Amino acid sequence: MEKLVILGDDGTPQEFELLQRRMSIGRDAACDICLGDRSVSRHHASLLRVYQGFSIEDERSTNGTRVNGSIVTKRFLKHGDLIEIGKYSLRYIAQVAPQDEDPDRTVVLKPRSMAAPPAESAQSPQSETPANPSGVSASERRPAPASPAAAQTEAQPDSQLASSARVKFMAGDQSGEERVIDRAFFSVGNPGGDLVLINQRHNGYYLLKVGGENTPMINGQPIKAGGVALKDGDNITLGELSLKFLD
Amino acid sequence: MRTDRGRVREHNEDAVGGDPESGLVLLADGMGGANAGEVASGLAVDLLVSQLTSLLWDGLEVGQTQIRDAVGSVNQAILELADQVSDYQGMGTTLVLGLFLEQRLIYAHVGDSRLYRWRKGALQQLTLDHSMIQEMVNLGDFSCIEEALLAGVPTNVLSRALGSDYQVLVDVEEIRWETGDVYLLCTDGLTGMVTDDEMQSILENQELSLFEQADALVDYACRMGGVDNISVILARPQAVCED
Repeated sequence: MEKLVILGDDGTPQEFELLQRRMSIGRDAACDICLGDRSVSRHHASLLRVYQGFSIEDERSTNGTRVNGSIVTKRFLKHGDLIEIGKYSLRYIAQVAPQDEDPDRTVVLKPRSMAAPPAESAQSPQSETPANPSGVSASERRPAPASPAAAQTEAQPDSQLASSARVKFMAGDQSGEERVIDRAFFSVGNPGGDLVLINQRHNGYYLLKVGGENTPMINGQPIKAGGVALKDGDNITLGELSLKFLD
Repeated sequence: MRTDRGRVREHNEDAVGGDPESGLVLLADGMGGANAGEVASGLAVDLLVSQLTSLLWDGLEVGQTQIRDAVGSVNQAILELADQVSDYQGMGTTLVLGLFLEQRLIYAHVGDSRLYRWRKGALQQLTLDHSMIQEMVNLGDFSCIEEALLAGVPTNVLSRALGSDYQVLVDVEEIRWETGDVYLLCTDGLTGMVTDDEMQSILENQELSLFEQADALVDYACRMGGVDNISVILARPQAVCED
Protein backbone atom coordinates (compact mmCIF):
# COMPACT_ATOMS: atom_id res chain seq x y z
CA MET A 1 0.00 0.00 0.00
CA GLU A 2 1.32 3.44 -0.93
CA LYS A 3 1.57 6.05 1.77
CA LEU A 4 2.52 9.63 2.46
CA VAL A 5 4.82 10.51 5.31
CA ILE A 6 4.13 14.06 6.43
CA LEU A 7 7.11 15.88 7.87
CA GLY A 8 5.90 19.04 9.58
CA ASP A 9 8.32 21.48 11.11
CA ASP A 10 7.01 20.57 14.56
CA GLY A 11 7.88 17.07 15.67
CA THR A 12 7.17 13.51 14.65
CA PRO A 13 6.37 12.39 11.12
CA GLN A 14 2.80 11.29 10.46
CA GLU A 15 1.86 8.53 8.04
CA PHE A 16 -1.19 8.46 5.78
CA GLU A 17 -2.08 5.31 3.93
CA LEU A 18 -3.44 6.11 0.49
CA LEU A 19 -6.56 4.00 0.43
CA GLN A 20 -8.93 5.94 -1.82
CA ARG A 21 -8.93 6.56 -5.53
CA ARG A 22 -8.97 10.30 -4.99
CA MET A 23 -7.82 12.22 -1.91
CA SER A 24 -7.85 15.92 -1.26
CA ILE A 25 -5.06 17.75 0.54
CA GLY A 26 -5.70 21.18 2.07
CA ARG A 27 -6.30 23.37 5.07
CA ASP A 28 -10.06 22.74 5.07
CA ALA A 29 -11.12 20.21 7.73
CA ALA A 30 -13.16 18.41 5.06
CA CYS A 31 -9.98 17.44 3.20
CA ASP A 32 -8.86 13.81 3.39
CA ILE A 33 -5.40 14.97 4.40
CA CYS A 34 -5.75 18.14 6.45
CA LEU A 35 -2.70 20.40 6.83
CA GLY A 36 -3.70 23.16 9.22
CA ASP A 37 -1.43 26.05 8.37
CA ARG A 38 -2.14 29.34 6.57
CA SER A 39 0.58 28.55 3.99
CA VAL A 40 -1.73 25.81 2.67
CA SER A 41 -4.77 26.64 0.51
CA ARG A 42 -8.21 25.41 1.54
CA HIS A 43 -8.15 22.77 -1.18
CA HIS A 44 -4.54 22.80 -2.21
CA ALA A 45 -3.96 19.63 -4.21
CA SER A 46 -5.42 16.21 -5.00
CA LEU A 47 -3.91 12.75 -5.13
CA LEU A 48 -5.36 10.48 -7.79
CA ARG A 49 -4.82 6.79 -8.21
CA VAL A 50 -3.62 6.22 -11.75
CA TYR A 51 -3.19 2.66 -13.00
CA GLN A 52 -0.60 1.31 -10.54
CA GLY A 53 0.48 4.41 -8.65
CA PHE A 54 -0.55 7.95 -7.84
CA SER A 55 -0.33 11.33 -9.44
CA ILE A 56 -0.62 14.67 -7.67
CA GLU A 57 -2.55 17.61 -9.14
CA ASP A 58 -2.32 21.16 -7.89
CA GLU A 59 -5.80 22.69 -7.35
CA ARG A 60 -4.79 26.27 -8.33
CA SER A 61 -3.36 26.79 -4.88
CA THR A 62 -2.02 30.19 -3.85
CA ASN A 63 1.50 29.02 -3.07
CA GLY A 64 1.73 26.12 -5.51
CA THR A 65 2.73 22.47 -5.17
CA ARG A 66 6.31 21.34 -5.62
CA VAL A 67 7.69 17.88 -6.31
CA ASN A 68 11.43 17.50 -5.72
CA GLY A 69 11.74 21.27 -5.86
CA SER A 70 9.86 21.93 -9.11
CA ILE A 71 6.44 23.57 -9.32
CA VAL A 72 3.98 21.08 -10.83
CA THR A 73 0.41 21.12 -12.07
CA LYS A 74 0.10 17.38 -12.54
CA ARG A 75 2.83 14.91 -11.71
CA PHE A 76 3.10 11.14 -11.60
CA LEU A 77 4.75 10.21 -8.30
CA LYS A 78 7.73 7.94 -7.99
CA HIS A 79 8.86 6.18 -4.85
CA GLY A 80 10.67 8.64 -2.59
CA ASP A 81 9.40 11.84 -4.26
CA LEU A 82 9.34 14.84 -1.92
CA ILE A 83 6.16 16.92 -2.18
CA GLU A 84 6.13 20.44 -0.73
CA ILE A 85 2.82 22.01 0.19
CA GLY A 86 3.04 25.25 2.13
CA LYS A 87 5.39 24.71 5.05
CA TYR A 88 4.88 20.94 4.92
CA SER A 89 7.01 18.32 3.27
CA LEU A 90 5.44 15.01 2.32
CA ARG A 91 7.38 11.95 1.26
CA TYR A 92 5.66 9.54 -1.15
CA ILE A 93 6.38 5.90 -0.38
CA ALA A 94 5.37 3.42 -3.08
CA GLN A 95 4.43 -0.14 -2.31
CA VAL A 96 7.41 -1.58 -4.13
CA ALA A 97 10.80 0.02 -4.15
CA PRO A 98 11.82 0.64 -7.75
CA GLN A 99 14.68 -1.13 -9.50
CA ASP A 100 17.86 0.56 -8.35
CA GLU A 101 20.77 0.36 -10.76
CA ASP A 102 19.74 1.23 -14.30
CA PRO A 103 16.75 3.53 -14.74
CA ASP A 104 16.62 2.59 -18.45
CA ARG A 105 16.19 -1.11 -17.74
CA THR A 106 12.79 -2.34 -18.79
CA VAL A 107 10.71 -3.72 -15.95
CA VAL A 108 7.38 -5.52 -16.06
CA LEU A 109 4.54 -4.78 -13.69
CA LYS A 110 3.35 -7.83 -11.85
CA PRO A 111 -0.36 -8.12 -11.26
CA ARG A 112 -1.02 -6.71 -7.78
CA SER A 113 -1.52 -10.13 -6.23
CA MET A 114 1.91 -11.21 -7.39
CA ALA A 115 3.74 -8.13 -6.18
CA ALA A 116 3.67 -9.33 -2.57
CA PRO A 117 6.83 -11.06 -1.34
CA PRO A 118 6.78 -14.83 -1.87
CA ALA A 119 5.13 -16.63 1.03
CA GLU A 120 8.14 -18.15 2.83
CA SER A 121 8.98 -20.40 -0.13
CA ALA A 122 5.53 -21.96 0.14
CA GLN A 123 5.99 -23.23 3.71
CA SER A 124 8.48 -25.96 2.94
CA PRO A 125 7.55 -29.43 4.20
CA GLN A 126 10.62 -29.56 6.50
CA SER A 127 9.62 -26.54 8.53
CA GLU A 128 6.08 -27.82 8.71
CA THR A 129 6.60 -31.42 9.85
CA PRO A 130 7.47 -30.76 13.51
CA ALA A 131 4.32 -28.70 14.01
CA ASN A 132 2.24 -31.38 12.34
CA PRO A 133 1.68 -34.28 14.73
CA SER A 134 -1.58 -35.29 13.08
CA GLY A 135 0.37 -37.02 10.32
CA VAL A 136 -1.39 -35.20 7.52
CA SER A 137 1.00 -34.80 4.64
CA ALA A 138 2.30 -31.39 3.77
CA SER A 139 0.73 -31.34 0.35
CA GLU A 140 -2.75 -31.94 1.76
CA ARG A 141 -2.24 -29.22 4.30
CA ARG A 142 -1.27 -26.60 1.78
CA PRO A 143 -2.70 -23.34 3.08
CA ALA A 144 -6.02 -22.47 1.51
CA PRO A 145 -5.57 -18.72 0.96
CA ALA A 146 -4.64 -17.92 -2.60
CA SER A 147 -1.07 -16.88 -1.88
CA PRO A 148 1.03 -16.05 -4.93
CA ALA A 149 2.92 -19.31 -4.47
CA ALA A 150 -0.29 -21.32 -4.46
CA ALA A 151 -1.50 -19.56 -7.58
CA GLN A 152 1.67 -20.57 -9.37
CA THR A 153 1.57 -24.17 -8.34
CA GLU A 154 -1.97 -24.34 -9.65
CA ALA A 155 -0.86 -23.10 -13.01
CA GLN A 156 2.04 -25.48 -13.27
CA PRO A 157 0.48 -28.93 -13.48
CA ASP A 158 -0.30 -28.05 -17.09
CA SER A 159 3.35 -28.43 -17.80
CA GLN A 160 3.76 -31.75 -16.00
CA LEU A 161 3.26 -34.33 -18.67
CA ALA A 162 2.72 -38.03 -18.56
CA SER A 163 5.57 -39.09 -20.77
CA SER A 164 7.71 -42.10 -21.40
CA ALA A 165 10.35 -40.25 -23.38
CA ARG A 166 13.78 -40.11 -21.76
CA VAL A 167 17.29 -38.93 -22.38
CA LYS A 168 20.26 -41.08 -21.43
CA PHE A 169 23.58 -39.38 -20.80
CA MET A 170 26.29 -41.21 -22.79
CA ALA A 171 29.23 -39.00 -21.77
CA GLY A 172 30.04 -36.27 -19.29
CA ASP A 173 29.53 -36.08 -15.52
CA GLN A 174 26.14 -37.73 -15.58
CA SER A 175 27.19 -40.56 -17.90
CA GLY A 176 24.84 -43.53 -17.61
CA GLU A 177 22.04 -41.54 -15.99
CA GLU A 178 18.58 -41.44 -17.50
CA ARG A 179 16.09 -38.67 -17.06
CA VAL A 180 12.43 -38.70 -17.96
CA ILE A 181 11.29 -35.77 -20.04
CA ASP A 182 8.58 -34.74 -17.63
CA ARG A 183 7.76 -31.27 -18.82
CA ALA A 184 6.84 -29.55 -22.04
CA PHE A 185 10.17 -27.73 -22.16
CA PHE A 186 13.00 -29.79 -20.74
CA SER A 187 16.42 -28.19 -20.51
CA VAL A 188 19.71 -30.05 -20.99
CA GLY A 189 23.19 -28.57 -20.70
CA ASN A 190 24.88 -25.73 -18.89
CA PRO A 191 23.20 -22.43 -18.18
CA GLY A 192 25.38 -19.69 -19.60
CA GLY A 193 27.04 -22.26 -21.86
CA ASP A 194 25.67 -24.81 -24.26
CA LEU A 195 22.02 -25.32 -23.51
CA VAL A 196 19.19 -26.96 -25.42
CA LEU A 197 15.50 -27.46 -24.77
CA ILE A 198 13.59 -30.59 -25.65
CA ASN A 199 10.08 -29.45 -26.45
CA GLN A 200 7.15 -31.85 -26.43
CA ARG A 201 4.48 -30.89 -28.94
CA HIS A 202 1.31 -32.66 -29.99
CA ASN A 203 3.16 -34.35 -32.82
CA GLY A 204 6.38 -35.30 -31.09
CA TYR A 205 9.58 -33.96 -29.56
CA TYR A 206 11.76 -31.18 -30.89
CA LEU A 207 15.25 -30.06 -30.02
CA LEU A 208 15.84 -26.31 -29.75
CA LYS A 209 19.12 -24.52 -29.21
CA VAL A 210 18.97 -21.93 -26.43
CA GLY A 211 22.53 -20.73 -25.98
CA GLY A 212 26.22 -21.53 -26.20
CA GLU A 213 28.96 -21.55 -28.79
CA ASN A 214 28.52 -25.10 -30.03
CA THR A 215 25.84 -26.08 -32.49
CA PRO A 216 23.89 -29.08 -31.20
CA MET A 217 23.99 -32.10 -33.51
CA ILE A 218 21.55 -34.92 -34.03
CA ASN A 219 23.24 -38.08 -35.35
CA GLY A 220 26.14 -35.92 -36.49
CA GLN A 221 23.97 -33.38 -38.34
CA PRO A 222 23.92 -29.81 -37.03
CA ILE A 223 20.41 -28.66 -36.13
CA LYS A 224 18.96 -25.61 -37.78
CA ALA A 225 17.58 -22.69 -35.80
CA GLY A 226 14.03 -23.22 -34.72
CA GLY A 227 14.29 -26.88 -33.83
CA VAL A 228 14.33 -30.35 -35.28
CA ALA A 229 12.09 -33.34 -34.61
CA LEU A 230 13.57 -36.14 -32.47
CA LYS A 231 13.16 -39.89 -33.09
CA ASP A 232 13.72 -42.81 -30.76
CA GLY A 233 17.42 -43.65 -30.61
CA ASP A 234 18.67 -40.27 -31.90
CA ASN A 235 22.12 -39.32 -30.66
CA ILE A 236 22.36 -35.74 -29.50
CA THR A 237 25.76 -34.12 -29.12
CA LEU A 238 26.28 -30.75 -27.55
CA GLY A 239 29.91 -29.80 -27.10
CA GLU A 240 31.29 -32.31 -24.59
CA LEU A 241 27.88 -33.70 -23.85
CA SER A 242 26.43 -36.74 -25.55
CA LEU A 243 22.90 -38.04 -25.07
CA LYS A 244 20.60 -40.62 -26.51
CA PHE A 245 16.91 -39.80 -26.95
CA LEU A 246 14.58 -42.70 -26.10
CA ASP A 247 10.86 -42.71 -26.71
CA MET B 1 15.55 -6.96 -41.29
CA ARG B 2 18.05 -5.15 -39.09
CA THR B 3 19.16 -5.43 -35.48
CA ASP B 4 21.81 -3.29 -33.86
CA ARG B 5 23.32 -3.11 -30.40
CA GLY B 6 22.96 0.70 -30.42
CA ARG B 7 25.51 3.05 -28.92
CA VAL B 8 25.22 2.38 -25.19
CA ARG B 9 24.28 -1.20 -24.36
CA GLU B 10 26.98 -3.88 -24.25
CA HIS B 11 24.69 -6.65 -25.45
CA ASN B 12 21.99 -6.96 -28.01
CA GLU B 13 18.98 -8.42 -26.24
CA ASP B 14 16.78 -8.04 -29.32
CA ALA B 15 16.11 -10.92 -31.67
CA VAL B 16 14.69 -10.78 -35.18
CA GLY B 17 13.57 -13.60 -37.41
CA GLY B 18 11.04 -15.00 -39.79
CA ASP B 19 10.61 -16.84 -43.01
CA PRO B 20 9.98 -14.47 -45.90
CA GLU B 21 8.82 -17.38 -48.13
CA SER B 22 6.01 -18.08 -45.67
CA GLY B 23 5.29 -14.40 -45.10
CA LEU B 24 6.32 -14.58 -41.46
CA VAL B 25 8.27 -11.80 -39.73
CA LEU B 26 8.79 -11.18 -36.03
CA LEU B 27 11.01 -9.53 -33.49
CA ALA B 28 11.44 -9.58 -29.74
CA ASP B 29 13.08 -7.35 -27.13
CA GLY B 30 14.36 -9.39 -24.21
CA MET B 31 14.97 -8.38 -20.61
CA GLY B 32 16.66 -9.98 -17.62
CA GLY B 33 20.06 -10.17 -15.96
CA ALA B 34 23.22 -11.85 -17.27
CA ASN B 35 22.42 -12.96 -20.82
CA ALA B 36 18.86 -13.94 -19.90
CA GLY B 37 17.32 -11.20 -22.06
CA GLU B 38 18.98 -12.60 -25.18
CA VAL B 39 17.90 -16.10 -24.23
CA ALA B 40 14.26 -15.06 -23.82
CA SER B 41 14.04 -13.08 -27.06
CA GLY B 42 16.00 -15.69 -29.02
CA LEU B 43 13.84 -18.49 -27.70
CA ALA B 44 10.66 -16.59 -28.59
CA VAL B 45 11.79 -15.96 -32.16
CA ASP B 46 13.19 -19.47 -32.79
CA LEU B 47 10.24 -21.27 -31.27
CA LEU B 48 7.63 -19.22 -33.12
CA VAL B 49 9.41 -19.54 -36.46
CA SER B 50 9.71 -23.27 -35.96
CA GLN B 51 6.13 -23.84 -34.81
CA LEU B 52 4.43 -21.60 -37.36
CA THR B 53 6.53 -22.59 -40.37
CA SER B 54 6.02 -26.28 -39.64
CA LEU B 55 2.26 -25.70 -39.72
CA LEU B 56 2.50 -23.61 -42.89
CA TRP B 57 4.75 -26.10 -44.68
CA ASP B 58 2.35 -28.89 -43.81
CA GLY B 59 -0.38 -26.86 -45.50
CA LEU B 60 -2.30 -26.50 -42.23
CA GLU B 61 -4.36 -23.47 -41.45
CA VAL B 62 -2.62 -20.78 -39.47
CA GLY B 63 -5.07 -18.26 -38.12
CA GLN B 64 -5.49 -16.10 -35.05
CA THR B 65 -6.07 -19.13 -32.81
CA GLN B 66 -2.90 -20.91 -33.91
CA ILE B 67 -0.86 -17.75 -33.42
CA ARG B 68 -2.34 -17.17 -30.00
CA ASP B 69 -1.56 -20.78 -29.02
CA ALA B 70 1.99 -20.57 -30.34
CA VAL B 71 2.67 -17.37 -28.41
CA GLY B 72 1.19 -19.00 -25.30
CA SER B 73 3.61 -21.91 -25.67
CA VAL B 74 6.54 -19.48 -25.96
CA ASN B 75 5.42 -17.91 -22.72
CA GLN B 76 5.37 -21.34 -21.12
CA ALA B 77 8.82 -22.16 -22.53
CA ILE B 78 10.31 -19.00 -21.04
CA LEU B 79 8.74 -19.64 -17.64
CA GLU B 80 9.79 -23.30 -17.59
CA LEU B 81 13.34 -22.55 -18.64
CA ALA B 82 13.56 -19.82 -15.99
CA ASP B 83 12.28 -22.35 -13.48
CA GLN B 84 15.03 -24.86 -14.40
CA VAL B 85 17.92 -22.40 -14.65
CA SER B 86 18.42 -19.99 -11.78
CA ASP B 87 20.36 -17.45 -13.88
CA TYR B 88 17.32 -17.08 -16.07
CA GLN B 89 14.81 -16.30 -13.34
CA GLY B 90 12.76 -13.26 -14.13
CA MET B 91 13.67 -13.15 -17.81
CA GLY B 92 11.07 -11.95 -20.26
CA THR B 93 10.56 -10.54 -23.69
CA THR B 94 8.26 -8.43 -25.80
CA LEU B 95 7.05 -9.69 -29.15
CA VAL B 96 5.59 -8.35 -32.35
CA LEU B 97 4.76 -10.72 -35.18
CA GLY B 98 3.24 -10.38 -38.64
CA LEU B 99 2.03 -13.21 -40.84
CA PHE B 100 1.23 -12.17 -44.41
CA LEU B 101 -1.27 -14.47 -46.06
CA GLU B 102 -3.10 -14.03 -49.33
CA GLN B 103 -4.51 -10.51 -49.02
CA ARG B 104 -4.57 -10.71 -45.24
CA LEU B 105 -2.16 -9.79 -42.47
CA ILE B 106 -2.49 -11.34 -39.04
CA TYR B 107 -0.45 -9.55 -36.42
CA ALA B 108 0.12 -10.13 -32.74
CA HIS B 109 2.02 -8.35 -30.00
CA VAL B 110 2.87 -8.35 -26.32
CA GLY B 111 4.74 -5.46 -24.69
CA ASP B 112 6.04 -2.28 -26.32
CA SER B 113 7.39 -3.56 -29.62
CA ARG B 114 5.28 -2.07 -32.38
CA LEU B 115 3.81 -2.56 -35.82
CA TYR B 116 3.29 0.42 -38.12
CA ARG B 117 1.71 0.59 -41.55
CA TRP B 118 2.77 3.07 -44.19
CA ARG B 119 -0.07 3.42 -46.69
CA LYS B 120 -0.56 6.10 -49.31
CA GLY B 121 1.90 8.45 -47.67
CA ALA B 122 0.58 8.11 -44.12
CA LEU B 123 2.25 6.22 -41.28
CA GLN B 124 -0.11 4.64 -38.77
CA GLN B 125 0.70 2.76 -35.57
CA LEU B 126 -1.41 -0.41 -35.55
CA THR B 127 -0.46 -1.78 -32.14
CA LEU B 128 -1.03 -0.18 -28.75
CA ASP B 129 1.85 -0.69 -26.33
CA HIS B 130 1.36 -2.80 -23.22
CA SER B 131 3.21 -0.27 -21.11
CA MET B 132 2.28 1.53 -17.92
CA ILE B 133 2.23 4.89 -19.69
CA GLN B 134 -0.11 3.63 -22.44
CA GLU B 135 -2.41 1.95 -19.89
CA MET B 136 -2.68 5.25 -18.02
CA VAL B 137 -3.72 7.01 -21.21
CA ASN B 138 -6.18 4.19 -22.00
CA LEU B 139 -7.74 4.62 -18.57
CA GLY B 140 -8.03 8.38 -19.03
CA ASP B 141 -5.55 9.30 -16.31
CA PHE B 142 -3.79 11.38 -18.93
CA SER B 143 -5.26 12.63 -22.19
CA CYS B 144 -2.27 11.61 -24.32
CA ILE B 145 1.21 10.11 -24.09
CA GLU B 146 2.82 13.56 -24.28
CA GLU B 147 0.89 14.76 -21.23
CA ALA B 148 1.87 11.62 -19.29
CA LEU B 149 5.54 12.11 -20.30
CA LEU B 150 5.42 15.71 -19.09
CA ALA B 151 3.99 14.49 -15.79
CA GLY B 152 7.01 12.21 -15.39
CA VAL B 153 5.44 8.82 -16.05
CA PRO B 154 8.32 6.41 -16.78
CA THR B 155 8.36 4.73 -20.19
CA ASN B 156 10.38 1.67 -19.22
CA VAL B 157 7.62 -0.11 -17.30
CA LEU B 158 5.68 -2.75 -19.22
CA SER B 159 2.24 -3.94 -18.22
CA ARG B 160 2.61 -7.20 -20.15
CA ALA B 161 5.52 -9.30 -21.35
CA LEU B 162 6.16 -12.93 -22.19
CA GLY B 163 7.64 -14.70 -19.17
CA SER B 164 6.04 -12.60 -16.45
CA ASP B 165 2.96 -14.70 -15.67
CA TYR B 166 1.46 -18.07 -16.60
CA GLN B 167 -1.52 -16.25 -18.06
CA VAL B 168 -0.49 -13.96 -20.86
CA LEU B 169 -2.88 -11.85 -22.90
CA VAL B 170 -1.83 -11.59 -26.52
CA ASP B 171 -3.36 -8.94 -28.78
CA VAL B 172 -4.10 -10.51 -32.17
CA GLU B 173 -5.66 -8.62 -35.08
CA GLU B 174 -6.35 -9.32 -38.72
CA ILE B 175 -6.49 -6.78 -41.56
CA ARG B 176 -6.37 -6.76 -45.37
CA TRP B 177 -3.15 -5.54 -46.90
CA GLU B 178 -2.97 -3.57 -50.13
CA THR B 179 -0.32 -3.53 -52.79
CA GLY B 180 2.11 -0.72 -52.00
CA ASP B 181 1.71 -0.97 -48.22
CA VAL B 182 4.91 -1.07 -46.19
CA TYR B 183 4.84 -2.62 -42.72
CA LEU B 184 7.36 -1.66 -40.05
CA LEU B 185 8.02 -3.84 -37.01
CA CYS B 186 10.35 -2.35 -34.44
CA THR B 187 11.56 -2.39 -30.85
CA ASP B 188 11.45 0.62 -28.55
CA GLY B 189 15.12 1.26 -29.36
CA LEU B 190 13.77 2.84 -32.55
CA THR B 191 10.58 4.47 -31.30
CA GLY B 192 12.25 5.84 -28.18
CA MET B 193 14.75 7.75 -30.31
CA VAL B 194 12.91 8.60 -33.53
CA THR B 195 9.53 10.33 -33.82
CA ASP B 196 6.76 9.03 -36.08
CA ASP B 197 7.29 12.02 -38.39
CA GLU B 198 10.98 11.22 -38.76
CA MET B 199 10.18 7.56 -39.49
CA GLN B 200 7.61 8.67 -42.05
CA SER B 201 10.11 10.90 -43.86
CA ILE B 202 12.52 7.96 -44.22
CA LEU B 203 9.77 5.64 -45.49
CA GLU B 204 8.63 8.32 -47.96
CA ASN B 205 12.05 8.47 -49.58
CA GLN B 206 11.40 6.41 -52.70
CA GLU B 207 15.02 6.67 -53.82
CA LEU B 208 15.96 4.21 -51.10
CA SER B 209 15.30 0.50 -51.36
CA LEU B 210 13.54 -1.23 -48.48
CA PHE B 211 16.94 -2.41 -47.21
CA GLU B 212 18.38 1.09 -47.35
CA GLN B 213 15.36 2.44 -45.53
CA ALA B 214 15.86 -0.10 -42.73
CA ASP B 215 19.54 0.93 -42.50
CA ALA B 216 18.55 4.59 -42.48
CA LEU B 217 16.11 4.04 -39.60
CA VAL B 218 18.73 2.24 -37.50
CA ASP B 219 21.42 4.84 -38.33
CA TYR B 220 19.07 7.65 -37.41
CA ALA B 221 18.20 6.06 -34.05
CA CYS B 222 21.92 5.63 -33.34
CA ARG B 223 22.61 9.26 -34.20
CA MET B 224 19.80 10.35 -31.86
CA GLY B 225 21.59 8.59 -28.98
CA GLY B 226 21.11 4.88 -29.59
CA VAL B 227 20.62 4.20 -25.88
CA ASP B 228 18.92 0.85 -26.45
CA ASN B 229 19.20 -2.02 -28.91
CA ILE B 230 17.43 -1.19 -32.16
CA SER B 231 15.63 -3.70 -34.34
CA VAL B 232 13.66 -2.98 -37.47
CA ILE B 233 11.85 -5.16 -39.98
CA LEU B 234 10.35 -3.66 -43.13
CA ALA B 235 7.96 -5.76 -45.17
CA ARG B 236 6.24 -4.93 -48.45
CA PRO B 237 3.73 -7.65 -49.29
CA GLN B 238 3.24 -8.42 -52.96
CA ALA B 239 0.62 -10.48 -54.72
CA VAL B 240 1.97 -13.77 -56.02
CA CYS B 241 1.44 -14.21 -59.76
CA GLU B 242 0.67 -17.80 -60.56
CA ASP B 243 0.54 -18.39 -64.30
